[in-house]
Amino acid sequence: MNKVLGITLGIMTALGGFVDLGQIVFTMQAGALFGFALLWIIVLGTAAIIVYMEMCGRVAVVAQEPVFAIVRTRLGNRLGLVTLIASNLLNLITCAAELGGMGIVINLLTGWNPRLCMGIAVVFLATAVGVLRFQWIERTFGLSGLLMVVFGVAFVALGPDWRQTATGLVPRLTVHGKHDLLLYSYFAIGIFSAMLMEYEVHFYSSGAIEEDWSVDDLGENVAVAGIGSALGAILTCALLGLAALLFLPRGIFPDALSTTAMTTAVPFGPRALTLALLGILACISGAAVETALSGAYNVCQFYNLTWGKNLKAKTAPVYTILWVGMFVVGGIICISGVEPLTLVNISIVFGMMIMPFTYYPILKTAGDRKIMGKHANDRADQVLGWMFLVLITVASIAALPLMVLTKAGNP
Amino acid sequence: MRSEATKLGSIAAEAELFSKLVAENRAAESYTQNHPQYLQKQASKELNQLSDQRAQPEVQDALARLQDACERLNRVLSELPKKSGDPRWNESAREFYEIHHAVERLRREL
Repeated sequence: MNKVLGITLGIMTALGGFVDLGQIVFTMQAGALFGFALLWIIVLGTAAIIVYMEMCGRVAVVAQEPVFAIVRTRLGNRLGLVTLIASNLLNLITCAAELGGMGIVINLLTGWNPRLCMGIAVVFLATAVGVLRFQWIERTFGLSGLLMVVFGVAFVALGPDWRQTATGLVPRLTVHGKHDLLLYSYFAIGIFSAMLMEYEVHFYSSGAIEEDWSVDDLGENVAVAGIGSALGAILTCALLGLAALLFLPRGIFPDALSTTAMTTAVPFGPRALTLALLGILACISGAAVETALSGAYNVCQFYNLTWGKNLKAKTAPVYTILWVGMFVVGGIICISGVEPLTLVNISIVFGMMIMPFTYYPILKTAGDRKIMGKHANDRADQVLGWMFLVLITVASIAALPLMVLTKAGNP
Repeated sequence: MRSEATKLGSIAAEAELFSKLVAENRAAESYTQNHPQYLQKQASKELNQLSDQRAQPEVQDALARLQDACERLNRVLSELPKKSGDPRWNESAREFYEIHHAVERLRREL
């Protein structure tokens, strides 16, 4: 039973990581514009996150080094500090966006004032994280995120043409005109970025240490990374598919979180719609928790301070102040009226730009035989790791120009 | 202006789908009451953007028609019934359909 529940770390990481506010809206926008044509990027992104999630879990277990300890060692103090500041800024923006998204969903479920709902979201999450032990945080948010399965069932219930769906698995240019080509590239990079958001590996590697994984758990590490990410990928494909079936033919470009849940009401009606809203709420709550905790993990790991969700606040004071601070500042940002989707657009592009600085140190350490011994990357890991790192680097260079040229994905 | 027309058409099409779902009792009550505010927010934003636009003489007529469509969209959104199953939802859906198609025709002309 414990082994089964252990998978919740992967599920929470993946659902909170790449089925978060940004991914939900971004993927549906891509489906609404290009149908199934971007399905292949979800497959590619899933393969990349599985490879790197497994690697950072393995490094955490074997070397007992979480991601930001590796970043400091590999990049040096100066570049490491720049990466730390950039990553935590990204975590803060994403946390604020997710809290804003939670406010919107609570408003849709209750009708209460949206800002009050955002305040409730902050208090609820801060209390939940304060009270629950790490294992219960991942179980609560990981398992409740499974409500998102309603999107997958809705997609199947709409009776898609599976052959047409499968054509999207092969990358091909079906767009015409310069603007459409830029939009296609922007959404491809955006989906890829949202699937590889840095906080996923920050949270996952720290979680492996929080859970006291040992070398005996390396098999579980593969399963957790694989199953969690595959589940997240299936749900992401379903979101893209729903938009391709329901929004594309009608000329709808979903520009609000509330629009995305509507897709489940078409085949199933009001109960499915409520379940979809609860699923979205669970996933974006999980993402808010991941980003807030990652902010605290990163600083403490970089400066070698005591950290751990299962430690008392007195034992890990900096860590505790930091995650509480992330919620408070994130809450202030979203309550001040900044649109969550604007924050998401910034976080996706900014996240892509700094991504190589997180993934390169992981790859170098995982392949280092002096540190990892017989658990170092084999040839296949190295080839895949470098291949994905090249793709990440190319995407990180292209992200900002594409954002400017497409006016952040304007159709 | 083409981009604004695309967005406006999208909001009208979404509002049409939403109205049909609510008319058929397929949306949860709280969602029925609260989702329109997000559509209205988007439509108001478009109206503000269109109001600020200065068009070349050859597209002034198109801009005026787009502004009219946007004003109509805002009006219909603000007058939506509050309860699902209300027969007026079908009427709203028809209006959104007309707005969507008028905007789409205009977009093709641009």
